[in-house]
Amino acid sequence: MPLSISRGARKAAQARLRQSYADHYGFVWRSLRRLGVEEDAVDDAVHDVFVVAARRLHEFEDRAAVTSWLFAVAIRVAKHKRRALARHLRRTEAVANRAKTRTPARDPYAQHDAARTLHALLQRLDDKLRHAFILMELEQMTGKEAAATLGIKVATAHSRLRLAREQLRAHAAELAGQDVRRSA
Amino acid sequence: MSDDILRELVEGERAALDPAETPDDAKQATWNRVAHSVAIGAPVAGFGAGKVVAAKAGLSYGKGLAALVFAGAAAVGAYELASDRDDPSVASAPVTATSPAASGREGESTPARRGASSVRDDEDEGDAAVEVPAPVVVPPVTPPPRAATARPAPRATGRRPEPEPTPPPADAASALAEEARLLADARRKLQAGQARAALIVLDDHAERFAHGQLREDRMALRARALCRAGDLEAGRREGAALRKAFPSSSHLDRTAQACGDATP
Repeated sequence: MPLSISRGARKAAQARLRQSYADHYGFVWRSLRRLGVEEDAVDDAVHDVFVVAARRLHEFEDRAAVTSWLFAVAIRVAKHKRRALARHLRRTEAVANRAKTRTPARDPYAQHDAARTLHALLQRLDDKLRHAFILMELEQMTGKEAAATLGIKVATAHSRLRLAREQLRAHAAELAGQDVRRSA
Repeated sequence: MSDDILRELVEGERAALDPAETPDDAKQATWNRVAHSVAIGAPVAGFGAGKVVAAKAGLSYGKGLAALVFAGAAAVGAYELASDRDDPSVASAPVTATSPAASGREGESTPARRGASSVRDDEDEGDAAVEVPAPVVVPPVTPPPRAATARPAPRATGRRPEPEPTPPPADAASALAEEARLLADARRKLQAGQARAALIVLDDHAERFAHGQLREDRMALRARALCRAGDLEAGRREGAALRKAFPSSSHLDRTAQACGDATP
């Protein structure tokens, strides 16, 4: 194959990677946080996701397939990175209890606390439920989109979301209970 | 009751992770590193050893995910961006090399090769371990933060990528990459609530790149870090200096906000 064609292919691949990065950076960044990557490690994790994803990015035609692929890679990268999170969980829970005394709707600090709390709670869920919750509740994908991303049926996606909500409510209530007991 | 908790947490979380909050320069700095790593075929920590298995786009759990291992490919550095190889199969076909022998078949997964990685071994902060993404930089993803001065990237030639990345030329591109690295580091520390640590990094930047290409960004970060660290007066002074030097800076609002000036 002549060099020029190969260069052309390389340029096309780079352009495609750049476009995917521009389109999906936010999604990958948020997903990593939600999958348990700490804030100070998330830039590195984003880097890792796109470097790994680049290897097969050209195989995916439509946006949904790219999203799906990036999410799959993000799960792997997050697994590797989030070992650190476990060490912080206790501290996170202490922060969690504060969150409930504020109003996340207005207060940026409370929003930050809410994010940390929710992310800590998410780590208690089974992977399948967590992924459904991230995509549908937090990314606000439709059941159909989430199902396509996860490679599952739409009904399954909905039932996982429902289960995830139930479990998160239970965990949140548990935290609130601890808080009440502490302040009593 | 618990319903409300969950809803509040979700709303708070979504607001906290609002895309509008992501600074463009952080996005650009990460992109520069991505482009560099892809160009040199750098392995990614945690994806380095073992086998390369094609995964389907859709997720499957358990086996499927476990199979999402990309080992050799990184070491093989077979991605088109980096190589002029004629045989597209390694880059485009599902690679199924499973033995160490297979992944090392072209001799790439040698210690020297791994040493050439620009991806650090992650885990902890270790500033010293953060690689300098250097100069393969690349058209900007977001409004161009002066990356136009970057030189064309050094490229691997021949049928396989070079086992070592080309040494960074001591030019504007590598200086810019170094500036971006410092500022990304400072930003991370600031986001992690370590304003004092961020200030130390920013001082380092100021010392080495007093009139650097990312001076505006440094001043903005410095103003925010000072205010976060409780030194409101110095923070506002720095904010004023930023306004004077860069009257139309997009950082002004955020800076003012961090110093409490935006609140009524």
